[in-house]
Amino acid sequence: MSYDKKFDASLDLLRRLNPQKVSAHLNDICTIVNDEELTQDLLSSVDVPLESRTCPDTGKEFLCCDYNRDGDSYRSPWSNKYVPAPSVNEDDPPPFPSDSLRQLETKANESFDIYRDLYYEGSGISSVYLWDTEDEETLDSFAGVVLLKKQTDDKSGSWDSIHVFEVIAEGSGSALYKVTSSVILDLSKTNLNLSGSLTRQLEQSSAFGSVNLETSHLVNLGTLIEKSEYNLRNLLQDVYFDKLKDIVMKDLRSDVSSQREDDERQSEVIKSLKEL
Amino acid sequence: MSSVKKLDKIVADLVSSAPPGELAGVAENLNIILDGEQTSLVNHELEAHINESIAIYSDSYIVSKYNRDPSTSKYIDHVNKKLFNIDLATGKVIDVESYNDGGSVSYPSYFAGLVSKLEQYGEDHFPSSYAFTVIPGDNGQLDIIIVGQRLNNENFYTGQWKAHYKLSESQLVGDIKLDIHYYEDGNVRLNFDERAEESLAGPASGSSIVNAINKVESNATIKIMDQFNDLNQRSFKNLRRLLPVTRSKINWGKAIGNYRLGSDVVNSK
Repeated sequence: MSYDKKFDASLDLLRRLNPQKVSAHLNDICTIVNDEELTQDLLSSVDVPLESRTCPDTGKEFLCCDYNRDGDSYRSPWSNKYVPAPSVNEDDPPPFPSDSLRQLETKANESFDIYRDLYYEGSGISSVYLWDTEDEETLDSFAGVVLLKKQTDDKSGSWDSIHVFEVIAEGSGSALYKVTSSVILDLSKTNLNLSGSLTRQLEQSSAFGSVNLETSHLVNLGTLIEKSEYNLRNLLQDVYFDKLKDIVMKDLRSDVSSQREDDERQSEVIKSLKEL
Repeated sequence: MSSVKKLDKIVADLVSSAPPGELAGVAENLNIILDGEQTSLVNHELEAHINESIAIYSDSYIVSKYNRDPSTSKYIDHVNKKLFNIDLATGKVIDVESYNDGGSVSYPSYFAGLVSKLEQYGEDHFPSSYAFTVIPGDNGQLDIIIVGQRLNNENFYTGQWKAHYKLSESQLVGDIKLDIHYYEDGNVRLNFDERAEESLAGPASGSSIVNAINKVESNATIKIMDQFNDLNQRSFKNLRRLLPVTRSKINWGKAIGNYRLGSDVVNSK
């Protein structure tokens, strides 16, 4: 079988299987495909619940994903250091954002830490990672990811949001911002479990305004990601609670007989009203 | 590489996580991933999973280990007195023939009455595909299996209500499972699993049995709705607010630090 066919079949399989076990299933699939390149591509294409590490310099927790990983180490957005420190390899040093991008990354982390406070009511973890997409290392075009994670105190619910974005220069004065947002939501109560993830894309061309370029990016990215997460939260409410409930009641087990009785009772009432 | 998971265990784990009604697609994907070299293993795990978890074939045939004929390894439909096999690739029933137990199976006197009550019960409560079967066992015990299913792939969802009851004397013990897969731009799954017990009100008959089934299934439906509301009102709402306490979207940019000043004041109170 060709590489593409196997890749597509793996993703299709993960789209079908129980999303609550996505991490285990992804590992199993990587074991049976037994192909280094395909494994790497699957690991970077499939969203799984985020893990966290503690930054030894600041004591703050940060989130891990493929974008801040180097081997078994993850870069802390708070200290810009890899945890644990990777073994020194001069031929293949771990990646860091350029100086100007790191400055923007620091500010983006401060901003999204406030965003997390406001939307996640002071709890949860947030992390932002940026990387250069061009050799020039300017702030005109770059890419990044915003991660947010929270679990309810009683452990009945967990939320992971992953916003991967790209900023593309559009000539002077504006840029195109494209974001792919996924939320992994897992909710469990006694013997009912609702789990899964939904993904949506959003893009917007925004002008830089009168402030400096760095601040413009913070405003435009913040606004876009806030909007995208707002949309997804509404969609999750829609799918998890309205759509699924409808499928239970209308497609699977309904009280057809009591509905029939209700209809009959209603027509009786209408009839008696007409006779008045 | 000390703890390498065996291939058959991996295939079994993946197959058992498949949504009802999507087994053929899962098998197809697995065969592509495994270069088509393990089709008999995939089929074996698929069949084991179907027998263990109960499936519905050709809209109205129940397939499970409970109605499997040990001598022919076909499945027995005691209600319509048929023997049949299944085609794993197409998900259809094949090789249907008439079934003659040769007097080895003892059907209770109310068997026909129970069958007609279960038919009516399906009409009253299951708006989509509905299948049931009754399997007579030893010492007057009965297995009753009820499945309601909707495969709506045009609208990106599949769902199944599945209940398996064991009746011994006047005690009904059941396991009710609900499994829904919704996959438009994502992958969302609902799973509900409940064990239920109910005593028959009166001697075993079609009515007393189906009334007991109706009672436990209606209770299960109410429980599902209650738990839905609780997850929505508490767990979901506690995860992420729709808007900040200020009820307006964030003022991004340099002024964002002002929120922190505000929250620090609140937290230090």
